[in-house]
Amino acid sequence: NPHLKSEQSEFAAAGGPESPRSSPKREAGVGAKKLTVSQVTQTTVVAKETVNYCKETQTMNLEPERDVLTYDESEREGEGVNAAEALAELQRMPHVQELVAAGAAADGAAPVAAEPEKPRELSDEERQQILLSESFVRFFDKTARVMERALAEDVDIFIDYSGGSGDTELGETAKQQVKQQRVFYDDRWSRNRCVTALDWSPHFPELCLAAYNANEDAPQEPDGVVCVWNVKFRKDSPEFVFHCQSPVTSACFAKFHRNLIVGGTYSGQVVLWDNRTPRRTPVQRSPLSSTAHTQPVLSVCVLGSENAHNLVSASSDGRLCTWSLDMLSQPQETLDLQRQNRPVPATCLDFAPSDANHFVVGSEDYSMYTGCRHGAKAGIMDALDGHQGPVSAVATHRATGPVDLGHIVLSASFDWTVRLWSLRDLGTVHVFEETSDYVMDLCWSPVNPALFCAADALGRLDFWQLNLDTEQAAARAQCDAAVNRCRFSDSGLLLGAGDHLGRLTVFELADSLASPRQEEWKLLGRTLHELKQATAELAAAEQDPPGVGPIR
Amino acid sequence: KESVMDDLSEENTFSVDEVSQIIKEGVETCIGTSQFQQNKVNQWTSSIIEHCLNQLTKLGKPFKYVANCVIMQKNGAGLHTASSCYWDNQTDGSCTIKWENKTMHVIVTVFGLAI
Repeated sequence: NPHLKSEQSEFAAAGGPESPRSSPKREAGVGAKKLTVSQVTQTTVVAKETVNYCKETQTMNLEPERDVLTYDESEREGEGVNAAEALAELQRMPHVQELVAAGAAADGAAPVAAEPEKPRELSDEERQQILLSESFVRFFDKTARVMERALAEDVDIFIDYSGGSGDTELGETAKQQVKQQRVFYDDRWSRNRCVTALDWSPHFPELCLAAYNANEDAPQEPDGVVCVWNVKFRKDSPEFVFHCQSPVTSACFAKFHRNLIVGGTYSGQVVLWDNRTPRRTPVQRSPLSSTAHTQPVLSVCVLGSENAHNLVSASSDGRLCTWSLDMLSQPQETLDLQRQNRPVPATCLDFAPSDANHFVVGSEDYSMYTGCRHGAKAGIMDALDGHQGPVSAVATHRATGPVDLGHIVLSASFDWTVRLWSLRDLGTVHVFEETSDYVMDLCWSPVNPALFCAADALGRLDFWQLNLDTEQAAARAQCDAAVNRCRFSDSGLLLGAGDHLGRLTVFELADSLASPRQEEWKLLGRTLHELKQATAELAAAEQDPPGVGPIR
Repeated sequence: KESVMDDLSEENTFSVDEVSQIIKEGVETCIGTSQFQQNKVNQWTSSIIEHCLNQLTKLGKPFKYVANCVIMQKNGAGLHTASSCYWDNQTDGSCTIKWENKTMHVIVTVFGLAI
C-alpha cells in the first residue's frame, strides 16, 4: 500500500500541469489514500423458461377398444359397397384424424402460451400499495372464501347410487332419529364463550348465526362476537365474523334485508352489522341513553311486512323499543312493561306468528305475561302464573297450517319443567316434567305442528312429539356441555344447539320425526283437547293447586 | 489536513446521480424506441459510449472514466454479469444502468476514478 500511495502522488505531480482542473493542493503530498475493494455490482437478465411437452403420451391411448373404430374392409367384401353405409361408418369415426391435429396444435401452442412476457419486478412499496388497495382486499376476501370451501370438501367418489343401504324410515329406534351432523367451533372466536343467541337465515337456508358472550380469559379480544356459519360446506371456519365492544345477548338476521344482522348487547345497545362491507364492527349502533335501553337486550326481531317493517327490541327492565332499521339513533316508540306499577323483569320475549302486535313475555318473577304493543291498553294484558322458577324461554307456535294454533305457547323455566299454555283460556294445558335440570331453551318446529325441542343445562335435547307421546320425549340427543340455545332451521330438518363452551352443534332429524304426517294437525287438535281435560281433572282432584291462574 | 478535506468536496467525488442521468439520456437518445437489429447494434453501442464520455468530460471533474455497454437481444436467454473494483471508496465510484424495451436489454456501466 505505501508503494501505491507514492506512485499515485508521483503521478499526480506529473499530471498536474497537463489536466486543466487538477487541484494544485493535491500535488502537495497526498494524504493517506485508503484503497479498498468495492462492492460487487451485479446485473442479471433472467432466462425465459420454456415448457416442453412430450408427444409420446398422446399417441399411446389410441388403441382401438371398440369395434366401431376398426376399419376392416374384409368384412364387407361380400356385401358390396353401400355408399350410405360407408359414409355413415366414416362419420362415426372421425376422431383419429382430429386427435392428431389437436396434438400438433397443442404442441405448437404450448410454448407460446406457456410463458408470456416476463413481468416487471415490483418494488416493495408497489407491492405494499397493491396489497392494501381496496379492490385487492375485496378480491382476496372472496377468493379465499371460495378456496377454503373447495379445499374442505371431501366428496365420496365411490358412492353407488344403485345399491347401498337406504335408511329405512320405519322401524328406526328413537335414538337414531336425531343424529349429530356437525359441530361448529372456532378456536379464536368461540373459545371460552357461551352461545347466547342462535338464528337461521331466512334468505339462505344453509346459513346460521351464533352470538357469543365475552371470553374472560382474553380481555383484549372484543367482548361480543357473532359468527355466521355455513352448513352446506365442510369448511370449519365461519363465513363471517362480526364483533362489538359489549357481549352480545341476542341476535337475529334482518328478515327483509339479506345483508343485515341485528344484535342486542349487554350494555343495552342495539347494533347492526352489514356483511357487504369488510368491516367487522357494527355499521350502526343505538345510543346508550335512557330513551333507549340501559339493560341487557334480551330479544331483537324484525316484524312486519316487506314494505312496512320495524325492529323491536326488549331489554331486561321490561322496556320494549321499536326502531327503524335505517336509523338507530333513536327509537321510534318505547313501551315500558309494568305489572302493578313495577317494571317486569323480563327474561325472554316472543311474538305471535304473523302478528306484530301481540307478544308473550317470560319474567324472573316466575310468571309469563301476554301483552300488546299498540292500542289503548298497550302493555301487559294478562298474567300466566304456574311456574315455580324464573321463566327462561317462551315460544309461540310456529308452524302454519289448516288450524290456527297461535294461542298455544310453550314456556321453559328453571323449575325443571316445560309448560304448555293456551292463551284462549289463559291456563296450563300440560306440564312436561321429564327434565332433570334447568330448562334453558325451547323451540317449536316450523313445519311439524306437534314437534318441539327443549334443551336443558345438562346438555340434553328432548324432542317432544305431542301426537306420539306426551309423557315421554320422542327422541333425545346429548351435547357435551350445557345447552344455552336451540333453534330449528326453517326447513325443520336441522336443529342448532349452542352450548356454554362456545360450540354450536347441528343435529339432523330423521324425516319421520321432522316432517308432519297428513293428519298431524287434526291429531294435534285432539291431543290438546285431551291434555286440557286431563289437566283440569288433575286440578279439580288436587282442589287447591298452588299459584295457578285462572284456568277455565 | 486541508488537502484531505478538499478531497471530499463536491468536485472531487464521483456523483452517481449525475452520471446515471447522463447515461440514461445517452441510451434514450441513441436507441429510443427502436427494435433490436443486428446491423445497427454496432452503431448503438458506439454512440451510447461516445455520448456518455463526452458528457462526462464536459463535467470537467478530475476523473478517469471507463464506459462499458452491453446490448442483448431478448430471446429467452439468461445473462449475469458482475464487477468489483479496488479503489478509494470515498472519491471513486461506478454507476450501472439497466435499460430495456420489448426486444432488448441494454446495460451500461461507467466507472469513475479520481485522478
